[in-house]
Amino acid sequence: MVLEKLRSEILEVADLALKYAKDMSIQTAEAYIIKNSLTEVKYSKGKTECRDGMLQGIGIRVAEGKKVGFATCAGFAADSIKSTLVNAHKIAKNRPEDPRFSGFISESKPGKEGILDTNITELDSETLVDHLVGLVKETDIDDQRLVGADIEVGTQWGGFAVATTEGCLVSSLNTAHYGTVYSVAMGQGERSTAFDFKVGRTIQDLSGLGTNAINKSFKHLGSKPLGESLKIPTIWEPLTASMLLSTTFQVGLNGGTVVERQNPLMHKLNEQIASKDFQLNDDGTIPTKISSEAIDAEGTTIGKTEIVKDGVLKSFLFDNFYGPIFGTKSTGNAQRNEPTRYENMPAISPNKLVLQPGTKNLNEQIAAYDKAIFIEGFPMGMGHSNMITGDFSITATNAYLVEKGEIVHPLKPVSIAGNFFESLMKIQHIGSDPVDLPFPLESSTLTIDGHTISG
Amino acid sequence: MEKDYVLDLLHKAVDHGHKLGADFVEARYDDLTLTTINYTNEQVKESSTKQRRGIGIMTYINGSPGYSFTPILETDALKETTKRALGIAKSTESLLTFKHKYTDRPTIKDSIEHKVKIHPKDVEFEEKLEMLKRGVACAKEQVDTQSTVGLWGELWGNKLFVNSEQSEIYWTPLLFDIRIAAIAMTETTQARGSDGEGQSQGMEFFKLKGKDPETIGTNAGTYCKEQTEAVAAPGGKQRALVGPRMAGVLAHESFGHLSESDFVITGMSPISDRVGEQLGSEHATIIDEGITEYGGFFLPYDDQGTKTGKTVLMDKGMLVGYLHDRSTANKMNTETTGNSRAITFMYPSIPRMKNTYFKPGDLSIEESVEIVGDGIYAAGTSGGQAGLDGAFLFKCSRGYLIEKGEITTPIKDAALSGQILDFINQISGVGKEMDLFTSYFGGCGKGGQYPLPVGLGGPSIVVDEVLVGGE
Repeated sequence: MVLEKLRSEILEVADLALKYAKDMSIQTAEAYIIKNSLTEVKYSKGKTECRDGMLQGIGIRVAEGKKVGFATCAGFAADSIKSTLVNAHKIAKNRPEDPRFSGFISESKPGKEGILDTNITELDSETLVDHLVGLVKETDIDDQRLVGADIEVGTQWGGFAVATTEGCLVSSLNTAHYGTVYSVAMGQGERSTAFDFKVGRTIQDLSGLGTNAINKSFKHLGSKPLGESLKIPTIWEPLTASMLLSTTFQVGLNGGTVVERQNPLMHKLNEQIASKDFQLNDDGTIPTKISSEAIDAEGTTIGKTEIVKDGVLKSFLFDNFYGPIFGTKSTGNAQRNEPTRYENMPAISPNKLVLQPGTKNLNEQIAAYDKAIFIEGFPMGMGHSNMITGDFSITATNAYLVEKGEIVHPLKPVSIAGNFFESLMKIQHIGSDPVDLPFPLESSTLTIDGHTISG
Repeated sequence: MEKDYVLDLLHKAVDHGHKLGADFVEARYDDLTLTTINYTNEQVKESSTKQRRGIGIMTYINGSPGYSFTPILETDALKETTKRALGIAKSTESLLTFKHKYTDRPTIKDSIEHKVKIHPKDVEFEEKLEMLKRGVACAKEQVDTQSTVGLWGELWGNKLFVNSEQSEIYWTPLLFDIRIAAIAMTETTQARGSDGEGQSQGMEFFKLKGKDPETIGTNAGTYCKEQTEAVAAPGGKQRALVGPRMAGVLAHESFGHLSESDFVITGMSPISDRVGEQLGSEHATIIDEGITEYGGFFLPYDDQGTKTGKTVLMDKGMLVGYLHDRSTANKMNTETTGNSRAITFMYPSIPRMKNTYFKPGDLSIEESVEIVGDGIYAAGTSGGQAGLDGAFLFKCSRGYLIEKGEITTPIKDAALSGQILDFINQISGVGKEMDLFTSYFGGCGKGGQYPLPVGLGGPSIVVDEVLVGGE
């Protein structure tokens, strides 16, 4: 009920924005409206930080021929919307034309909306704090190795609408509940960090997150230096593998950078880019995923796109601007960046890349090697890599030495150097153990050869 | 929006908070305009203006904080927002062992307008686009580009603050950021070079020697050309000269964040309870300052209405202070340092940095290179990351080999990593030339608040040993 009321409100605001545009003799415009309730509670050793509010704003693109201006404002006040239209129109009139602009979308039939959990909209702050208390109790243990644990729980619910003067008026709703625990442990003067989290479209059972995070941070105490530079296989747990492949494909599949000649995979369409058992699809319709929406940020219906088949790159991802320039249509991959979304122009991004699982789980992959490095958690530096060349050099703070099929001991931070795109051809195993993650790509355990590990 | 009208609203919110039972209330108003021009491959890819206007309310009840926000600038909406903030503050009250308490402070009434000769808001779009065009043209003269990017970003506006002490503070944030990037093909891959300038200054800045778009573009093109001929960085432990921009990122990401009092007071930071200890070499003095003589970001007040000043974190290797908000300063029985900051009205303020930098020393660049002898010169960076275990990793996006006391061959991307306290202990010399900058495209990230404008930079620093992840 609350969600449907919100849907009516954002659709009404979107429609109103276009009515104002018409009153101002603006011929071509697109309005993106968002309204999201955000409640979050953070806790760290008896100290709290809480936020409870309603994000609401509007982003408007106005086209004057082939000249497009973009302006945004917070809130839905009539004066703000009107001045935003004026600003976007002024920018459009003043800037040079972009001959590639082919217009905003005209019609759209919303696709499948993900699961909506009305319990989340009804969850009051007291109940949310109860969730937090459960995790606080888990992390309140009598163990001198534990320095502390940062805990966060929260909910988000709301939706967005897109309207264009070409006749599009669509919306999508979402609900989310999450919890995270970040643990810091210490032993013999050495610090170790780890975390665990859970996020979903329905109320999540957060129990166990605190214990898991603490145990992971303890597990890494007593690390030893690698003491050499090696080229041996690296085994990446699903979370870490998902981070690696998300970085690779978020950049490599961007059809916009293909058009702009900045994409390292731009000449690889229909070529082998990965091992033959590598199958990858972009699917924004899975009802349980928090990324699933009925429409993308330009109003295009979200569907499913085949990306890699038998290791061959079959498609890039497009929005409504770059798709036609490339000679195709939007694949429904326009997104607006967090945290405010309405303040950002649409940019191309995967909805949810799903890697088809293989045969061996994590333990079986570890058992398959005489010598390898096992990597957990979030290595540092992934996001600061050179995505033009694909070269990366990252530091894994939660790595372990594997010998004779077993984990021998944790390692002091090791640097791992390689190339994102070359790594795809050097995947030796794709795991059978995918996990549900809020990343652009969900992977199973991966074993990759050819990286240089130093430490 | 009329200043008096907003002040009245803020006071009403504070009064309403007290009526509902709050012990202390802070009300903040942001009215910021952000302008972006993205000039990719000589087409205007984006031209936009963002109006970021709204009010945030922080309430405290029995030491428990709760925050809410609204873009609706009306009394009823403010009352509802205040109620919501107080509601969540009450919800967590039973969990608290750290009670937020402020040391009494007299009423502050201040108004600071950051005056510049030519304000970016008074310069037309065409002129800014022309700057990007000139920069890109110069980049293209240096290297056969496959692709180019020119970016312009500016942020300016008004901030108002009112609290239960009847303080009223007004100031005017301002910054611009220009970036030029060139991308070229090599036989096997692509190479990228970029340069830029970000400052809280007027457009007259671009008339300074070496600060004009042409020089920025020429640098981007030159750095890109160098990358087409770069060799792999030597891996393993190296002596290094770390350039000003990378030194700034190091000071900020690794040491600065560990000094933030929320991490310190909970014991999560590895430098908690270590004031007075010699943690770094005698060459390492690290400062965090609101308004500096070197440029960077202009920050006269933080978001708790505290006037910013100069905070020395490390003095000749000795830890001497942390970055505080009013609560942590009270708890640790010290003065607040004006480091409570929020990215927008939609977020509560938390301990963040101002302008963080290594204090300059007396070495020339030639002397520094000579001291290194053989190693690498890490001149440019694409950023980095640090953890609460003290581990850090920073990307060197422009670097060179140093051989026999001379800068020689460009190196490909490399990562510098290690433990920050080890690194600071390895500093054996500091340069005298300062370069302090701020940014619109990027900034500081913490607690989901990204990108917050901060200033960072410094002189070049010589380190005896750092782990380089190359090939």
